[in-house]
Amino acid sequence: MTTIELKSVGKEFPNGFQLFNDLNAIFDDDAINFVIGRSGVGKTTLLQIVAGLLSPTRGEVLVNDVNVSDFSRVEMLRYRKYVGVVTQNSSLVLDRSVYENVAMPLWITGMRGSDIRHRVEASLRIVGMSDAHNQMPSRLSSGERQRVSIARAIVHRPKLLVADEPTGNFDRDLAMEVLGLFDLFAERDTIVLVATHDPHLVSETQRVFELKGGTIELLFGESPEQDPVA
Amino acid sequence: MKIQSFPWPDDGREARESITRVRLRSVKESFEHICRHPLVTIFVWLLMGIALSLPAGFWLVQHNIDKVVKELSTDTGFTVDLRLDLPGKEVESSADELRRNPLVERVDIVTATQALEEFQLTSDFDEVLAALDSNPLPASLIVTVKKGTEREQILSLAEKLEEQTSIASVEVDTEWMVQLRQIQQIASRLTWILSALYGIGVVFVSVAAVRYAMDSRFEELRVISLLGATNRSMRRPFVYCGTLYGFGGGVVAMCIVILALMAIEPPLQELASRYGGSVGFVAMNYVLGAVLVFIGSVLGLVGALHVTFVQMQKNSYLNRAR
Ligand SMILES: Nc1ncnc2c1ncn2[C@@H]1O[C@H](COP(=O)(O)OP(=O)(O)OP(=O)(O)O)[C@@H](O)[C@H]1O
Ligand SMILES: [Mg+2]
Repeated sequence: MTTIELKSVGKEFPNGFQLFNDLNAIFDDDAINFVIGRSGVGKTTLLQIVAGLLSPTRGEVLVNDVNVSDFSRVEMLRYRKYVGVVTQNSSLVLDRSVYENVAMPLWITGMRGSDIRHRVEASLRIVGMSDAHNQMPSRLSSGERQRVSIARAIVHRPKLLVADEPTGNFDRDLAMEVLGLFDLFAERDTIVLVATHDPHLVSETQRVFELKGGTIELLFGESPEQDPVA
Repeated sequence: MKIQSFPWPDDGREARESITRVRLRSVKESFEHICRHPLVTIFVWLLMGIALSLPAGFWLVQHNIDKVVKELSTDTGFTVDLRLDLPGKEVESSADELRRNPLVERVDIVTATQALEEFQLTSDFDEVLAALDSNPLPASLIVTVKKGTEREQILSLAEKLEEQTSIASVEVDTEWMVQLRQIQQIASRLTWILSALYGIGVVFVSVAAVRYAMDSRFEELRVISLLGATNRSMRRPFVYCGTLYGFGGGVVAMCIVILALMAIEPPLQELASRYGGSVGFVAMNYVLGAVLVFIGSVLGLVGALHVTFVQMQKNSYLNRAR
């Protein structure tokens, strides 16, 4: 069980641009947490803050009641090992094979070679790309590429999965297929945040937050606060 | 100290990690890079090798001059030319006075007559000399100093002696030795200047080559920074890469010097034998080779450390992710 609580989170960039000043929200892990909003409202920035890739200039990010925004460098590095990131535009390294791309997060931590092989194969199996090991990403379709980048995001068994526009400009069927993968993780105790600018991807049956004009609001779904825990 | 709190309990994942494996991976990646761009690598190695071999060659030349100077100037003494009109008794007393100096081992007197005889034996000026009615040569004292006397001490003693009225001049070195010493100084300074300049050159080559390496892997750096790699671990393969470039440059420099020496050795030996026996020239040896490779590696490392630092600052890969 993981919850993430934003408390008056603000971000001002070094150039003086203030993107938001007071974000308050609670995400939890029983369903995908969608963050929608027009282009440029700060979805990517928010996700990077939650993933520990950017630090907020104000407020707190409480992960299981631990404020990760004042983590030291070392603590932050440790934190990131528990976080999986699917970046906008499936950023695969084009001159590395699918296998190598998926193995990257494990290379960074210095895992043993045999463990890496095991994990990479498992992840590729989950996203249905087992046969693509030695392929180069440039020869994959964009849907396949996105699945590879999801495999890369889950290869180190993250507790928190952050996906920035994981469905890109996919058609509806493909987008639903990709989102189905995230549902799998949400069901398995991993807290999942998905940002998208496409309001058609979400429905009223899901938990959806809207980022707008420097604030974040729960659009659909129940707020975990009001959710009486049995 | 703050108690470390963490959102999740450790599930054993951290026990599976190893910084050693991360480092080994960086080594592997740096080798991969230099193998993947063989032309660049060869070019860089040649460039660095040539740049390193020049000062190395100069150093060898300088070292050999030093050796010759040392072999020829025994630094065991000097010659004192007395005033021309000094009477024989005063020659004796000057010699005795010198003998009392604690630095002096022995003093041999060469009287004016002896000097003239010797001169007649070795030169073709007999007739000219015969035409003179007086001996144009002064008496002189050949001073041998005690073993272990410093050159500086000899020089200051000679300077003091020169002030005495009975002494015309003191000759510590023969004329050509003075010249050789001057050449020695020039060679030494040139070697330093060249070493500094070409050393900077090697650093620049490393900077350019590593920068190219980083640029060619820009995408990958951007991605792994998003995946949580530290700046240090992103720099590491490139730092190793620069060191490898320098190492290879050192090896190439060593080969160049060896080849150059092989080319000039036969005529050099011929020259040496003409002056009686072979001079033991300092050639390439293991120590010099190792020093060259070491210096090359260090210069490569310095360039790589610098450029990776600058590139990490400048690019801030994460923010370019958008
Ligand atoms: N490093 C930065 N310095 C200054 N401004 C920045 C920086 N990064 C982002 N911004 C600005 O912050 C705003 C939000 O950017 P962000 O990428 O978070 O938006 P987004 O909601 O993800 O947009 P999109 O849907 O197009 O991906 C943009 O106006 C952007 O120009
Ligand atoms: Mg974005």
